[in-house]
Amino acid sequence: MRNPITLAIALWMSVFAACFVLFAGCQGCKSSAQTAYVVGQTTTITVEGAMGLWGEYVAQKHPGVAVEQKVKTAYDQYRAADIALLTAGKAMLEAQKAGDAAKQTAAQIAWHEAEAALTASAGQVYALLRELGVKLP
Amino acid sequence: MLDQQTADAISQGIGTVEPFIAPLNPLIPLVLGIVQQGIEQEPKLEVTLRALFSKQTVTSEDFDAAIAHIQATIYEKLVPKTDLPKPQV
Repeated sequence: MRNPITLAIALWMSVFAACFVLFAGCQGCKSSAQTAYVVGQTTTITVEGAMGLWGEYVAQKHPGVAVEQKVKTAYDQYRAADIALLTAGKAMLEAQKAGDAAKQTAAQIAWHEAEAALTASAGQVYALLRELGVKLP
Repeated sequence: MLDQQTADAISQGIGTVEPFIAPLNPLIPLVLGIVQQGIEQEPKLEVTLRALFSKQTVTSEDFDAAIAHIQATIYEKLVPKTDLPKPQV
């Protein structure tokens, strides 16, 4: 029997491939504000999960103030990026409700910038924790 | 272990929004692994995830609550045994 995680990842990837074909031409099919919310929340859950593992590591090994400061800085950068993404999502929702096309465009630009920053900062947290010896999956 | 129903919910939820989050794709296996570990330690996380991915509408208040949560979740909250000096209030 295959490992459930392998199955889940395989399922996930196949859903991605199928959805890319189905949705690539109609991004408006799903509310972009809702997308921002789901992405923001999923990233929050994941980064906080990883930081929980870091908390256990610190409790056991006390890596030192300088090392912890590096992680704290990376975590704070992630928080700023996640807040920026959710703020852009809220702006998209409000522009959508108001039917304001110019504001919707501005909010979408802010969302794309925030998305790039969030990807980079969350990736930085994971990379740093791994580098420091936290056993991430 | 992350059960199949939750994996499906996550897959469907993320799959639906995929065109917007293509840059996040390389992180997905890691994300799924961390979620699995999180559920093992905190089973109610699974309920939270299911609710998130089955949410039909989102409101300004949802965004406000999510932002407030992140603002409140400072480093010291997640790393209670930190050796860093306590933040000044």
